[in-house]
Amino acid sequence: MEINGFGLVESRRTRSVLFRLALLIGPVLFFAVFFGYPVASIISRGLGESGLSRAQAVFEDPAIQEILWFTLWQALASTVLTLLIALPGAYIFARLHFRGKALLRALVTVPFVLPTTVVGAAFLGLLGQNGITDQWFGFTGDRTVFAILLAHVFFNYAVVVRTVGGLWAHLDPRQAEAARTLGAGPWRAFTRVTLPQLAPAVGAAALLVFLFTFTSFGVVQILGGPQYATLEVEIYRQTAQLLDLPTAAILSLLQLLTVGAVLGIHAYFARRRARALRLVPATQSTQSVRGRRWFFGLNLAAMIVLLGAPLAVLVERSFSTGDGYGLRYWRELARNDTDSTLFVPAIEAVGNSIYFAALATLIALIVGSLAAFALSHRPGKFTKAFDAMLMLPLGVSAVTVGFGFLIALDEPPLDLRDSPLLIPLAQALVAVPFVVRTMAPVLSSIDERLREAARVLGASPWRVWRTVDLPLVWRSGLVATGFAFAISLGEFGATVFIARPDQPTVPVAIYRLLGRPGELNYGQAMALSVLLAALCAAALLLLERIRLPRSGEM
Amino acid sequence: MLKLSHVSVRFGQRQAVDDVSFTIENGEILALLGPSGSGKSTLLRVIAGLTPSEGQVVLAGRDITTVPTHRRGVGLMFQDHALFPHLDVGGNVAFGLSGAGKQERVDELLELVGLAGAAKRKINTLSGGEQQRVALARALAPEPKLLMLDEPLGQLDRQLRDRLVIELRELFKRLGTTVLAVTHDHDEAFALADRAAIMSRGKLLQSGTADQLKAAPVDEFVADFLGATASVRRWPQ
Repeated sequence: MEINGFGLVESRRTRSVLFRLALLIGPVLFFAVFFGYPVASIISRGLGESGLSRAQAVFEDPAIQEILWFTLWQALASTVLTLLIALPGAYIFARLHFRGKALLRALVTVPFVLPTTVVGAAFLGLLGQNGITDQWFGFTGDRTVFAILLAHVFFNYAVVVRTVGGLWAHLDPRQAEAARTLGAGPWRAFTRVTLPQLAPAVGAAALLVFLFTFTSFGVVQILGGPQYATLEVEIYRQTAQLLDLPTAAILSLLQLLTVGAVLGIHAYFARRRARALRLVPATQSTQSVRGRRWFFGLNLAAMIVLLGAPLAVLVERSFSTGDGYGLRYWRELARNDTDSTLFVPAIEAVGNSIYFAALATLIALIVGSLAAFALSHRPGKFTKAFDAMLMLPLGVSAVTVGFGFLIALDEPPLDLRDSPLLIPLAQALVAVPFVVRTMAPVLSSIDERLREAARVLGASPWRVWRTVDLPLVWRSGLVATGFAFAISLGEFGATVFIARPDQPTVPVAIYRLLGRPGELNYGQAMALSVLLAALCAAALLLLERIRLPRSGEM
Repeated sequence: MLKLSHVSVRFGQRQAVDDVSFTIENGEILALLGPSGSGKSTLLRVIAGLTPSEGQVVLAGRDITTVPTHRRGVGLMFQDHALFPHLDVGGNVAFGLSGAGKQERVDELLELVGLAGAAKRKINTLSGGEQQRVALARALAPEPKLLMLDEPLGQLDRQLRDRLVIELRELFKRLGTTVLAVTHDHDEAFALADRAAIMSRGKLLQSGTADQLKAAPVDEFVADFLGATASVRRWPQ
């Protein structure tokens, strides 16, 4: 008799593949119902009745053409500007060591987790009517492209610093040193040796910044005034103000296709660029600040002016009552006037926000960690496709998600209009990609031999998971929790569509207050912004305390 | 103690292990010797149950061909040690232990490998030699029926290797451990093992003591492999 273990071991392997696929069922269903179905509704609404002739009419409208052009060029300009300003910053964090580096890195990340409405409010306080520059110099810069671009750099600075800096810190500095010994000057060594190795990270960062700014909503809505609108803003206007659903659906569709195309192009180039890099522990590659004081100081100044000033202004405005400083706006948050903009005391929005964000975080963690675990083991074709799909809600924009929820989930078979889960579901959809992006790299960086070593020492599959996987990954789970919470807390684009008027979240309340005249509304918006910024920053800074050895960067 | 019959492993087009059969007696130390890519490490993974194969593996009279890794009762010291970075030295050594008296056993093993009192140290503070000792203590802790070593002295410098290889042999003989060690260095193989088995391109060519192999190499490859490396060593430093 021939004894052959192959069949049995093989079937065990097949079982583990099936197990991984089974883990994906939950996330796939979640995306199918809460993303695929609403988007399909948009498509059928946009192209269903009058079809392509309607689309043609929309695209021939000069006003729409102008919006498309503006959306594209401001996104490109924001991306280039952010890279120019933030790449030197990435170098500082990756290659120099100085006191307070961890704290400074955490601080420059704060803008990224701030809600877009807060960013809008901050720049309005800086450049807008009755803002700081207006009071001091009689200069107002809101309703200009300048303000929008600055706000975009503010928001995305950390994306570049963390994505590019994360790789940069681990590049072997000896390669650039080798170039120097071969006669290359510092600039040539940088452009010929360092930059090509950084290219994947720079590309990834540029892609994220482009997607974030191409689909920018809250910032443009608040700072753009009537003359500047992105596609996202226009979709909202067509839906909420003009009630022209077919036009909104066509524009959503266009945005969906554009984002899909950009992601596809990126995936194509990322695959061609992929190459093995020689990576070293970060501590091996840092140098002292000495000799680079000017460069260091300039960067520090840029961070203070660009990232610090808008936040400082926000706090100042919330206490500045016109005739000195006081707590009037803060006290007003708890009052409920009969002609109130919000129908409820503004402070109630804080409770709503925390409640919705907590539910959304829970959903995002369950869906996201299942997906991350399934994706982390030698991805096949199917898992790769799902990985790309996960990124879609990130780029497709919150407004599309909210609009989709509005038209798809308000009638049988799925009527969630009165469900307390409606807003958390939409927020979770936006947060899941972040959860996956944080956890998957850590999970897949676990050396397979550690699991093998545990098995040889007699650990069952369950014990391997409990004693090897879990201890190595729980920190990234906490970080993902913080991200998901901060993102859900500040989510605006989707929530503004589906929040009931008497149940506003904080970002929605800020937006409504800023949209009304009167210094009391303005002051309350500033105070609420400070509160929300503090909540988001606290969530982030708390998590920065949990250092991750190899965390995923956004 | 260990009996392999007609073990073969194929990776796609490549025959990594080709119909290998051999036995190891109880308490014997056998070295698997061969150039890199000859299938030595794959063979270890087959015996540990980490790589599926054809053929039969019998350990201590029991057919373990289809037994999952964690129930096989074999120990494996990985090439780069694969120590758990999230556990300290003691935690690594205790991983394969169960029941009462864990702490005593950990201390005993650390003393055995010359690292007494290091239980609380973190893995990333250890030197290469110390990591190697912790890996050895961890593999020995559950008292495996067969201990397998994959390039046990791989990354250490020459002097340290020469000393450790003697220490290891004394230790295994004292404990009566049955050992299968993979190496590409025949000096190391003969210093450590009772017998060496020479592999090339997945095939087991010949096995025997140092004298047997050198006196009557079965073919040119074996002669070259043993001879060439020997002559290289004779060059002055």
